[in-house]
Amino acid sequence: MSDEDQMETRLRRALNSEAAMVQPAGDGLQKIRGGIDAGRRRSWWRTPVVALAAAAVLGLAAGGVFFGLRDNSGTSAVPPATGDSSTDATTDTPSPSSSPSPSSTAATDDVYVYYVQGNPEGPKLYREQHSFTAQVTGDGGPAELAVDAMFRQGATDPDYGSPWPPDVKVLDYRQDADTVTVDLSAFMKNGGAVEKAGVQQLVYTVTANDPSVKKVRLLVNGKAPQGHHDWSSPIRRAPMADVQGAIWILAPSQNATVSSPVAIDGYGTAFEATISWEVRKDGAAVAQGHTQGGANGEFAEFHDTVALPAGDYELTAFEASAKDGSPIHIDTKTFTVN
Amino acid sequence: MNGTADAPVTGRAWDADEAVTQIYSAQYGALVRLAALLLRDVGAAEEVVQDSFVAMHGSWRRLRDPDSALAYLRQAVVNRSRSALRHRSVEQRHAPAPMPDQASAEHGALETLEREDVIRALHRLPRRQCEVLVLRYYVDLSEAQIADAIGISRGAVKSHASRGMASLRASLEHTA
Repeated sequence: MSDEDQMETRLRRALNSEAAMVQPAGDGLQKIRGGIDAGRRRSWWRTPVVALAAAAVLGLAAGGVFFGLRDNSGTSAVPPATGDSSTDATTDTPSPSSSPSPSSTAATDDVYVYYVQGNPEGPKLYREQHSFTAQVTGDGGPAELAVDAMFRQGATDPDYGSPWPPDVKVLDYRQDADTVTVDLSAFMKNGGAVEKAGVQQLVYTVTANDPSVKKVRLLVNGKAPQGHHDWSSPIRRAPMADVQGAIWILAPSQNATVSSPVAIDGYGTAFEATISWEVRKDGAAVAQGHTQGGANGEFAEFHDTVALPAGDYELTAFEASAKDGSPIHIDTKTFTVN
Repeated sequence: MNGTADAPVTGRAWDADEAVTQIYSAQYGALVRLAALLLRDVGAAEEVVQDSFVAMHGSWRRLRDPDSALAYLRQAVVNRSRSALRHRSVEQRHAPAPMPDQASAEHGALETLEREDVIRALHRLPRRQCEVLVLRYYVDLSEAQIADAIGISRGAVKSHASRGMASLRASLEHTA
């Protein structure tokens, strides 16, 4: 790169001069800490005031970005009244793992975590598999880990999100026969449809990881949550066709590196079971095909393969609408072929 | 940006929180400028970098040292910028890109025009080519580091760079 031609010099100069105009706002570290606090059950930033302020900032940002468009209840900016340091103190179960140091007991587990994607037909559930290293606070099984992951980890796929406030803490998790009780430090502040999706996100996540669980009793600080709907009775899974995204891509997973031929796996339902897919590279379609999933509300797995040269791609799976063939029920994943 | 964050002074390893604080002070500004060059939007650039730091905090146990953390952050910033671009609406993508900020007084009008021409041409390139050129000519990364940051092979870095430069020459040479 030593003897540059004139064009290279022009580019370098333009980039440097453009970059020189960029002035970060100055509250970056505070926002990052807010994001980190939101992503874990127990915060260990020493000053509760800072943590609370950061959580409030993040609540504003996350609520605005993810649900601001479709949910105008506008209250997501309000930090949950209970997200303060006293909650921390009461939930800090004395256990060997309550220290956050990297040396404390940790378990790795593959769990299914559900997230929500705002689709034109409303918020729908999508599933991701997360390899999750958890601070184990009891003898919690995979379902408890998965709930922990749901509140602490963001979705890998940037199209997915969670309507739950970013600083929700799991205060208690216990199972009694086929019912799990989850006590949370805060509830969603969203509209009715999003609230339903968020509750089902939790119910699906618990039940997907522990088939012995049929119902989830939801508590917020020990009481039935106050929302748009009555959540005072234990909640079962709503019918898949009502709450699940119609088409999911299961493989390749987001940001995966895979070998060619690439296995396309998914799960879904479409009119006459026809699920279409398309692979794009730098925005241009390079391969497409159709395969069979479930028909008309019945969900079933679908599979296909595509040979691709090494490179980075985006896979879209969708249903071609019966009306005009335009893609509906879209799920996308970016991946790399090595 | 190409340098490394200072090693822990105390001789013990950083925990994830310290790592965030230290690497933030050394690298935050440079990463925001990188994201802003890819996105042409300072607010979105800051969000991308902040999210990347949160993700780095979660992966600290695996990363453990400032060099791998910086490589991880660059990768996250490039990936997340790409996702952010993909999710911008079609109208936004085709609207003239806004200036990242007000030009400061010492930038003459000619220089502003020249910069605008070059940056606009850069953003008309396919995403990979644009990323490669920004990482090479702004961040000054080696081919291997660029390959790592974008997640492509070194050969692909080379070809994206030469195709990108060829397109820039074709669209800009007469305006030199």
